[in-house]
Amino acid sequence: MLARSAVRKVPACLKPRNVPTSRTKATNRAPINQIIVKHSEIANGSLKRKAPACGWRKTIVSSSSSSSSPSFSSVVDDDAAGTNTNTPDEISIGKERFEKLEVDMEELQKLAAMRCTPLSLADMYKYAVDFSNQEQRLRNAQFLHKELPIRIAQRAVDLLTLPHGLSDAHPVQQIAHMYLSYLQKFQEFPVPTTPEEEHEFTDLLQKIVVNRSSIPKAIARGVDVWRKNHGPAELQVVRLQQMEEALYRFFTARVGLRFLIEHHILTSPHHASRSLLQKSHPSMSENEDMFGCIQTDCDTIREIKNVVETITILTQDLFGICPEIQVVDATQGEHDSKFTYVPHHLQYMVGELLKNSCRATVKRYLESEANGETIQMPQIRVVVVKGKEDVTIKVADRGGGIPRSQMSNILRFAQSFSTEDDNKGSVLDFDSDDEVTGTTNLRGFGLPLARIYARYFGGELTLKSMEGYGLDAYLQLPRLGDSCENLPLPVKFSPGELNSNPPRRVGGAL
Amino acid sequence: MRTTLLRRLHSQSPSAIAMRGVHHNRLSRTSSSSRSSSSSLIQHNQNNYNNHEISDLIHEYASKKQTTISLKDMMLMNSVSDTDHYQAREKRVLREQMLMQMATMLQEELPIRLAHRIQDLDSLAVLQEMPSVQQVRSTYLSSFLDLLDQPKPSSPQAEQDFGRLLQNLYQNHSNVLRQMARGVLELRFQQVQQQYPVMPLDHDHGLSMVDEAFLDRFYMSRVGIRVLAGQYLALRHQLLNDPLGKSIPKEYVGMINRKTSPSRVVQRAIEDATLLCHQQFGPGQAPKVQVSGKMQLTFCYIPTHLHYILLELIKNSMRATMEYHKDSEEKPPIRVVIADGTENEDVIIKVSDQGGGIPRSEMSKIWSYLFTTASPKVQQEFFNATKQLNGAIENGSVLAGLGYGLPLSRAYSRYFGGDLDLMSMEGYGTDAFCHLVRLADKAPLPV
Repeated sequence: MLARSAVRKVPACLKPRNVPTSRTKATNRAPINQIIVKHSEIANGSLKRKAPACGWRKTIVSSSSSSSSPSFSSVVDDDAAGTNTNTPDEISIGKERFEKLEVDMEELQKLAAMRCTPLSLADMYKYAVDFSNQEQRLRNAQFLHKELPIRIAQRAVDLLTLPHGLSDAHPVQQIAHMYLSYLQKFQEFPVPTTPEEEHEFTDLLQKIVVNRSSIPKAIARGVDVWRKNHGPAELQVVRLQQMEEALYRFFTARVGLRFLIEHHILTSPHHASRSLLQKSHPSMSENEDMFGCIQTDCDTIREIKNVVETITILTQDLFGICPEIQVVDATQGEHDSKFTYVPHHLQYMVGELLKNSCRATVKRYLESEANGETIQMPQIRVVVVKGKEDVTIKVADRGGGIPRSQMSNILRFAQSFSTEDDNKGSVLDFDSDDEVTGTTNLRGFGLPLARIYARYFGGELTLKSMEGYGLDAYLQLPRLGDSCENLPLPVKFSPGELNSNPPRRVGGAL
Repeated sequence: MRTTLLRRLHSQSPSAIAMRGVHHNRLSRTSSSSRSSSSSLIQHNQNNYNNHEISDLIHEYASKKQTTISLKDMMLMNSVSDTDHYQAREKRVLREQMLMQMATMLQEELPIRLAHRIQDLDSLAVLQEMPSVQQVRSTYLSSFLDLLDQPKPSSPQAEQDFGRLLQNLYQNHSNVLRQMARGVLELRFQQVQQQYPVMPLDHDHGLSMVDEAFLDRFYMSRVGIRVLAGQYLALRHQLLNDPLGKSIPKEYVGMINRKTSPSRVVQRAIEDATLLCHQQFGPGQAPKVQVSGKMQLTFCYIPTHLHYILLELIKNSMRATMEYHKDSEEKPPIRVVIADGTENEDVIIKVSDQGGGIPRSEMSKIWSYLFTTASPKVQQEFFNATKQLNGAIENGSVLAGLGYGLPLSRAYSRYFGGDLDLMSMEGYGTDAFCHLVRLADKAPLPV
């Protein structure tokens, strides 16, 4: 039978007076009375837990079917399918069902307190080189087995200890629970010590990656609902800012997590392991110079041209017309300099920018036609330059721009653009399936996510708007590949205070 | 908290104003009615006070709050044209009253701002020991004391004297930029000699000690003081010397032109920059500049500021283009776009070039008042040059100067609530975005 661990109520280490750092402000972190977590397999029988060989003394996440927990289903929004057949013991995200779990917060915090190891692109490339090197692969797997739970735990702790009642917000709870369930999976899986175990480990990772494609959708919807339902305006600003920062940290870490996992999967010598991921990711074809997710000699122009085709089709479907997109290669001089990058990150970022430019251009064109003015639909210009330090991609449109006072809004998560006419359509705009395939269908999330991708390896995304004229977007990506992963900055109240990344540029705030 | 100065003035009773007059007179020991306009003033009035008194005064004024003045207040004289329908004599009286009001306001406010700057300068670590910076301090101090010694401009005659004084001060201070830049150079030389003799001269050591925030505050404040004083002087000139608007167009309110045309200012800036380019790179050698966008746009702004900013940007673009493409015949053109739309918050002017761009790692330097791409030898030449060059540098008419053109342009843009930003594509070129706020706002301006 399932062992029932006692529920920990407000662990001592979470009470404000015990938080050690001097940076702590007076605001209290939310007490955690009970954590309810989801489990992807509803366990009816006994669940054998293998003794973890990694040295965790206590289990951190366990499932329970206790009914003493408050009914959660009333808080849960309907998912897209509209099914609301949740019993008090189950919650659903997307099409998955979850069971409540309980969490040992102290242990969770201890895990979260361990240091992350940020890797550089060069490191990851190095580790992936030799398919046949079993030893290296095993070492990689063991590293991941240790590293990933730390990162997952940090995210969970961060989300569950947000102040101002944010940790009670529905989207926050959902994500935290999902992460804790993954933690449980890791907890149950012993450290791989043979190639066969490593193979199983890779399969486990694959499940995680493929399963998590519904998170951004859920978050977007949840944030919207949370925003609308939230009370007095005075706290609103502070809360929004906190939520904003939490989402920023979350997505930054998520990019890292997915990247490490995908990279490990794709460098697996077993073709079958890779196939599942590759199916959902058509752009990750087996090139010769592709190692895992990384391509040593990324042909930026070709990648961008592919994206241009995709976006043109999408825009055509949605609006009936599409502006001409011109791609210019302005690199002068040395053509033999290589650009090492992750193609699907590049595609995502450029796709987002082009999508926005197309939408703005077409809208402006249609408006002016409606007003009786006849203008020719202006083209969108994409300029690519390979410099010594960076590869710069500029996407310039003449779609009317955005007023300067609203510029900070478009790069926020918590302020999606839900205006009147947008609500008529759905939250899901372009009907592509997934963030993974190259464009996001979530209003308001695309640009901040694109910026996180850009910053992940030390690059930057900057938008300059000329109101009444158009918008220029500058994507600067470091060419050298030796910047470390840009992991989220220290969370104020979390014991897991890491500062292993190079100082982030402060220009432009969050 | 800050209040607009005019509101403060209006709420005061005549007796309170009279009291302040007494206060002023108590301080001055010599009669201040007739002042000659010479720079020996600097020594003159400092001899009237001993050091203790001076530091007391500075402390007293620096502890008062600076008051922000909105542009609307500065354009108080907007109502000048409303006086057109009055009789000539009444008109003159009204105008004199307006000028006296503004002069009184300035006499209250300027010493406070100057005192703040002096105190700020005194608390600065290394830079203040440089002789040029000491000169700047001395200039500020003498202006401060002069203003205090001046009797209240409560009569047309006193107002005229005040006007003359302000004219002198305005001119004396026009050297400050050059002197501060010279101070930075002196610091650099000193560091080299004393501590890092083996380092090359253009290594930027020692300069990290200088407080950039101080320089930002200092120059921004200077913009403010000069806008205030300049506006007053321009209004004076306009109201008293050209009341019928014969030589100065009606759209002008002091320095402000209600119908500033960006396209015309851009044209003038292009001509000036082209001239400089010819001087440096040879006759006939300058990239073309293409202007597009809303050419008919007019808005309310100070044309001299706009000219300074645009000249700076186009100058930089031309220099970059010439140097990056020095081996090719055809230089790629520089493009200027003036943003459309009448309902915009801002007027936006974009200057793009293909001059090779700036690497991202060096972007932070261009906004610093301390760094320049001109070699130290060139900088040294500036300081050894004759006085003629002073005005030229102040007006921004040297191609590669002392390094503060861009940050100063940004200060000008930001002063009225706008902004200036540069985006660079390394290996290709740079785009500069200048946002200018239309000056009908009631928003208070920075001090």
